[in-house]
Amino acid sequence: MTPRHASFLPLLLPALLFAGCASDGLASAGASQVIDIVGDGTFNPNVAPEALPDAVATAIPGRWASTFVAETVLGWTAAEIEADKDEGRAFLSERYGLDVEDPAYEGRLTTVDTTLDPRTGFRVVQSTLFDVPDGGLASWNLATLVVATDPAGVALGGDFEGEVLAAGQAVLFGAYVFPTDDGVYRVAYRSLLPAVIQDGALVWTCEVESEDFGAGVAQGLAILTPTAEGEVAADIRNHVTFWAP
Amino acid sequence: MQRKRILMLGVLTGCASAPSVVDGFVVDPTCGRAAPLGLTIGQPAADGSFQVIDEDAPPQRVFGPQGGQHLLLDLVLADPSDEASATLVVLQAARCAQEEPAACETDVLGRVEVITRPGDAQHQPLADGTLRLGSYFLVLRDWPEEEPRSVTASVQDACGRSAATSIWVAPQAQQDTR
Repeated sequence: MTPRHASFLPLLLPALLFAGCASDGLASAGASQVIDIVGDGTFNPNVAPEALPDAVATAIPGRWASTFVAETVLGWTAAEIEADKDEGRAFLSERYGLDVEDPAYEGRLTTVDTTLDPRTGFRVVQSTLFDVPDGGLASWNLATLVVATDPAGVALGGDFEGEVLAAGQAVLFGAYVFPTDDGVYRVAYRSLLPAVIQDGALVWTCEVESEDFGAGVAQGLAILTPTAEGEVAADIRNHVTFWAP
Repeated sequence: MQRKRILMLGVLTGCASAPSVVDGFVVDPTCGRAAPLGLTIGQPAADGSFQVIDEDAPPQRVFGPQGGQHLLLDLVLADPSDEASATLVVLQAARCAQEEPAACETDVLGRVEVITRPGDAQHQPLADGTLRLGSYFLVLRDWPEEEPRSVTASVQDACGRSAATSIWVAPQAQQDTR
């Protein structure tokens, strides 16, 4: 490499990093498969995103009440949406012993159906399962969060009998939705363990299941921090692994 | 050469600062309303009602399940302009250099700039003629309990009238909800 070429290296490296190279050829036969998702966008959580036309604010910044993705991207009917929620609620009851519709939890648990703000830049940056375009594949995240708001926490049952969902901890279920050129892939997720706040970040471990990709786990973290311009910057990292066949 | 590199890196990484919401707010020059604009800052109570915050009742921080922490803030404007008018809202939390309100702008912990318009969920005219604005998320990068802090709200209405109020939060005085 000549000195002249070397002088361009500092400029090329960030260009390559930010280009988000397409991820063909990563798969290994017989090995587990992965989807890596990031969100690093900046947005104003007090202004609804235009890309989510029916967005209504929830108690969580960056998360909106909306049926746009279910109805328009997935093409689900209202009955299918409700059936999916019923399935999620049944999971919470069986796994964690939480009947979120029980009035006894009023004021102790907060349940919120949400769509992640697309301005977070939530996108797949690498996958062994489908092609990812340069710059990433813009994706959706639907989540029903059940957050303990009782300062004393909420006693759990099911597989977690004897444990307590501490104030601020959450259990959740939902789906990642990946609109690829080959079709829309949906990966359902459910809390394998309660999500916790650690060093200001939400940290989760979920089990995942997909008709197309099988079962696996998702692990990640998310945090929002304010910017000097009066907005917030998302920092979301999520690594989804599907078990080897 | 060094300067060119910095410029190119800036372009590649998208470092250009975003246009400010404040700059985009338009005042109606035909508005003749001149009475002072009253402003009170608060938070939504559990039942949704407006709850004033002040030095004796400091704001409650929320550790949000989005990751991070925030204050949920509401405002009430007395003698607001026409119901069809927009309002510029700027909220800011800051760490104070000393235990006095005047020394609270040195270290910004979080800031919101937003224009609220009729039809927005945050624009709520009340029966008594006041205007409730909110709730707004004021996302915090920090909220050091052991140090003095402040929460400041300032508004400008379509008539060009402005008002501001500031709450000083004493060390260890706030109550947290998780």
